[in-house]
Amino acid sequence: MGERSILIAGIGGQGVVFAATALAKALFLQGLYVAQLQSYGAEVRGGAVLAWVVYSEERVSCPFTDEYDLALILHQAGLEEAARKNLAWRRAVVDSDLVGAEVPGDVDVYPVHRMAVEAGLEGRENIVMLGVAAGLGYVDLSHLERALASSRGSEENLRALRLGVELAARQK
Amino acid sequence: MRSLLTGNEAVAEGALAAGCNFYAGYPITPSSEIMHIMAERLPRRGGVFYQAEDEIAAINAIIGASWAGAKAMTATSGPGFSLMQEGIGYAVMTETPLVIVDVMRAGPATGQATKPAQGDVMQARWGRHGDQVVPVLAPSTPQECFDMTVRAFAIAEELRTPVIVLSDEFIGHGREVVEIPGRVEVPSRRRPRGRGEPPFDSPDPRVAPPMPPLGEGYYVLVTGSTHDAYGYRDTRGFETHYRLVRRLWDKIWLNMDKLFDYEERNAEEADVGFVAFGSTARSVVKAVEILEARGVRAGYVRLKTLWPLDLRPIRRLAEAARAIIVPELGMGQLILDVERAVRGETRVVGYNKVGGGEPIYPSELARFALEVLGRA
Repeated sequence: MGERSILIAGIGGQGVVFAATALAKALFLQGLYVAQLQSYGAEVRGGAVLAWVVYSEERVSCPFTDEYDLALILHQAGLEEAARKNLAWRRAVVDSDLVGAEVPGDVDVYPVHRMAVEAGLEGRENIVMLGVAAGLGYVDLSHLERALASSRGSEENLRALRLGVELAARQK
Repeated sequence: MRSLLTGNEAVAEGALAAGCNFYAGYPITPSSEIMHIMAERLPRRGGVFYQAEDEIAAINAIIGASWAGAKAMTATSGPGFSLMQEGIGYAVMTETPLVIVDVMRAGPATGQATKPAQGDVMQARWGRHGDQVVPVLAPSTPQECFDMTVRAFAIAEELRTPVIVLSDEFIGHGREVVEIPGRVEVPSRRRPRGRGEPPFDSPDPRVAPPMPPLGEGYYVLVTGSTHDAYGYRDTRGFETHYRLVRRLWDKIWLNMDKLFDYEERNAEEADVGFVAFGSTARSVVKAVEILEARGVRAGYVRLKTLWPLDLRPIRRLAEAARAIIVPELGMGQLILDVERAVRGETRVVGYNKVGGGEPIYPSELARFALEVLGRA
């Protein structure tokens, strides 16, 4: 498999760090070595937040990368922060409701926010995005489900995951 | 057992495994999780957790607890670490075993609380007034946060000294896989065999004197002022002061073999060498891989102990290398050691970046190395 990396970019309050933590836990449950980090400001809500995961079958030598295999972009603020840091990705999944600008690279665009609202899952766009990552084969859905099983509102989180998987299936 | 832990969680697990039974602290980003875990776990196992009114009270509380026989620790970050310096100096003079964890953030002053930095190297070594030396360990991973916290307790107990674990926000808040051993052995400080054995002198400076526990019937004077073998103050004489300070100094420096630890790669054949510690060393490992893939002979020395520091590995790296790069999340403190080791015989260049949660990426470090080698 080699080493892989996923970036999650958003704004404070969207659960960017929570999503990265759940993703890391899922990959750990898959039996992989994981390094998960984040960068955020002192504000609880409102500042740009980046969180990322580097994972491999071997111990991860370095948790820092400026070139990701996948970027999950939840908000314009996160995108701008990633651009400021000159981060690049091979593939990106973008919430077109909350990201205005053109995103470079191989990009899948979904109105994630609107779809989440329609499905009664507002505020769980982060988990929908994890579902997309699972649908695209970056992480096992079953392990994500296990990682989120004890989370607050776990039923909604599992529904959000499935919504994400369905979105990814449209792309394939 | 294999767990997914942040560096801060791993520090707390290491402390608990080592038998820490007293924690005093004042919360401060990015170290607070250590305190949260100790608050929850220590009382359940018969230990004591104390949230102090500030870091000055916290450091003094753990000094008192240590004298009462506890394995005591605190954790903090820059501003709190500054407040603790006087207490750490007192712990050196009174030979009090302590573990102090500093999870570095961007400073000076309150700086950027949530952003990593490596600017406390010199403060960890020299933050106290007077002649003193305190071991400083530098983890690079959550695994090392566990291992080095255990080791810090072992050193503290064996040498009757405060020990500093210098982590940073990336390591403290970064989550990685940690192997936790089933059982951890940490020695306990030696007690005096009888009342005649002096608690503040030792025939061999490499060996700490025995430490009488307070409250068990020993008469012992504990003072930060210059004192003789039995703790009696002597604030005037040369002999007593020089003998004491010389012994405290030698107790650490003469144990260099035991205290100094590092890791190296291609150190004797690298064209370009890196010297690094902490989270930055992670990028160095990857940068060396990138350079090797491009046919460049690159190597590194990663310091796992920052103090006392053995300059010989850095010197060996410099003998082969055309240039040495010292990347730091700061304006450059470790580079001063490298310059001291190399004595102008090899080019030494800093790569400095700090603030905003920016890591030094392996790719930029590799590009910089190529530039330095004149091949970019």
